[in-house]
Amino acid sequence: MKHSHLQSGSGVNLAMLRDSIRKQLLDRISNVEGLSKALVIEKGLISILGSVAEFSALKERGIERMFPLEDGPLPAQCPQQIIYLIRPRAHLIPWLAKQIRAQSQSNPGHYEHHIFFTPRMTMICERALKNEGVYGNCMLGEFHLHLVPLDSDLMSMELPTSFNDINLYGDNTSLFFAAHGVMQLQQLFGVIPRITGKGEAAKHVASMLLQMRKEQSEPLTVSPQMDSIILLDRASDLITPLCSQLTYEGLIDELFGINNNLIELPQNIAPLQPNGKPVKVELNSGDKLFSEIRDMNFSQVGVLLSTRARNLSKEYDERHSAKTVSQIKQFTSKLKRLQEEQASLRMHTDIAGDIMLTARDESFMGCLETEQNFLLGEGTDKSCEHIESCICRKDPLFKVLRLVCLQSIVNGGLKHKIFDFYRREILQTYGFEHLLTLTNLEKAGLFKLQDARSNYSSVKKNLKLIVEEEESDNDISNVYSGYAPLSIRLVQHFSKPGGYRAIEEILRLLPGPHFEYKQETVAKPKAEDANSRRPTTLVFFLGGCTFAEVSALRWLTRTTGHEYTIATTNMVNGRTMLEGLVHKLS
Amino acid sequence: LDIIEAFEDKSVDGRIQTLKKAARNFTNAREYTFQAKATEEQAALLTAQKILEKRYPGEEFMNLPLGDSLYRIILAGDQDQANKLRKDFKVPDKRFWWIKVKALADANNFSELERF
Repeated sequence: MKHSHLQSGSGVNLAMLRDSIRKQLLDRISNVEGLSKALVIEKGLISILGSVAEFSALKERGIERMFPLEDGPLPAQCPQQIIYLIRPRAHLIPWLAKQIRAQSQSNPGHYEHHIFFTPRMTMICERALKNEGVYGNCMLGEFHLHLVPLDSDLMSMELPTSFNDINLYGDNTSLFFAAHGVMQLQQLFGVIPRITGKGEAAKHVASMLLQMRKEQSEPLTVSPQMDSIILLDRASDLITPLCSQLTYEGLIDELFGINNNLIELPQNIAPLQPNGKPVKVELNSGDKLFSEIRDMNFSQVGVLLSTRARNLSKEYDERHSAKTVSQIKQFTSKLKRLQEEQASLRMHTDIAGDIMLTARDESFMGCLETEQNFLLGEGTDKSCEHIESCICRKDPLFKVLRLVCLQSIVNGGLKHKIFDFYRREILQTYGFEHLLTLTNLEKAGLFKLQDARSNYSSVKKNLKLIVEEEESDNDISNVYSGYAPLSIRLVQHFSKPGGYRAIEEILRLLPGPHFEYKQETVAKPKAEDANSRRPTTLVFFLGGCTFAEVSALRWLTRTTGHEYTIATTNMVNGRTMLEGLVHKLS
Repeated sequence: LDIIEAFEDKSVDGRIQTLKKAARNFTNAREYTFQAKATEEQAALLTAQKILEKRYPGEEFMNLPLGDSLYRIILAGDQDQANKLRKDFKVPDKRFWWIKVKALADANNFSELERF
């Protein structure tokens, strides 16, 4: 398996992170004695594991079988050593306890059980194991996989529920893990001298970071490769994830859903595999063409694809003009590359064509128009006709919620009459059980009654969130066709020499505190480094970030003197963020 | 708010009772007037659906959202009943027409559709 997509010419080398995670995992498995081992793994972790270590390497260390963890017994023919790899989620413990008890009864003393929690064990899980009475019967360990490198500039903790955990249930476990993730990075890339950020969750992580550094006994001697970290609480910018992403990769995520770099192609693009499963494609910068178009506004993708197609067929045509042996040789040496390019081009043309059909669709355009009007600050104080029609047609609930939440946020909450009107319409159309959905949205601050005047218009003006179309080609607002993501505007200001001081007034208008701390560094940056290296910033999103935001940061890396590396608790879009809040009937 | 969870798995009558109780609790807590009204309405809807199921044997109405219930009634061709439900639950005109047009079209009831 190639991992070329993790290496890039500049910035920190995330391949190092992957190697250290891989080594840790393989060491854990090697340390389990015995020759025949089984790995039982939580379903959500399978694709993550695949991106960290290949199966052959696991096999070399004695893993004979792999099973997804399910609520049911393990097969009778099972290796002696059983290794569990799970997230510290309490509801999984009874499943695994049942399996352990069943095996100890059927064959006492034969099996040995090891449980590795990733990234860490929690007290709740420990207690759950004790309650199940299997605590003493198994070996416990931890596999510190906090951040999974997804690309050369992007890491994710792949914790899909983090936004809800933090904002709905007040569960800060994911923040604790995030702090540990940053510690892990500091071990590899040196102490980060400057910590800044915005939002309650961000402040929480920052103080944990400082505390952990204090408790650390040995000083970090690696010379610093990152100059600052910006921690951003998703709750400080709820506008951006609710907007439709208009980059190529963003649209793929909105329409197909990207999961750990993988997408499942719909049947109209690629027929099902013989085993009845959809074709999966990996998307990362290892695919040259994709790395070129992923961050582009979708409106520009079509032109580029057709130019590419023309160039490619021109190169193919060269074979007709090849006359001498050496010319033919030259052509055949290119052939493999050409074929690869052609395959990639064909796939992206198919995907882009499918997106085009949706993007031209009246209902998509309608939503987009409504979004843009809200962002401009128009018609936010009355009931919106488009939203009403969506409800009347019984369009997917998340689509309606996305718009009403956006309206609520830019308007600083909704007026009593409109608030009740929307709520009634939603309940009568989508069902009474969504009373709980609405309550969840309220708790998370997404949909609420107006309590003060909206300050969106001054935020919009001062941070230049809306950019005219002609200018937006040269601005981060390109990724949302005219709206510059609030989060990334903050990053831009935080990166300036004076830090956030210039916009302190505006920061006060946004939820959550802002802060700046300095960390002492023992190791000095290498002399030759200091001159040649561009300032490098780690941007850490707490509660999720969108692909369009990643694209915007990449744009900044390309056009400013700054290098941005991105970390997030998980990748989100408006749909995935709201889906977790929607109440499901049991 | 925990009360809401309680009704999810009970029998119809039990559920109506629990809902009424929940509505009373919401009324007592001042800031939940919307929830109180919505809960009361849901209890009323369940009662109405119980009657509807008797009238149309074989059709299922229980626990459907109000909009879907209206759609099924119109599909079955019972305009009076639909109008009554609409009035009882104060469905806005706009949404009612949407549902009605869709249901009539799906039922191929063109004569009724033309009467608009």
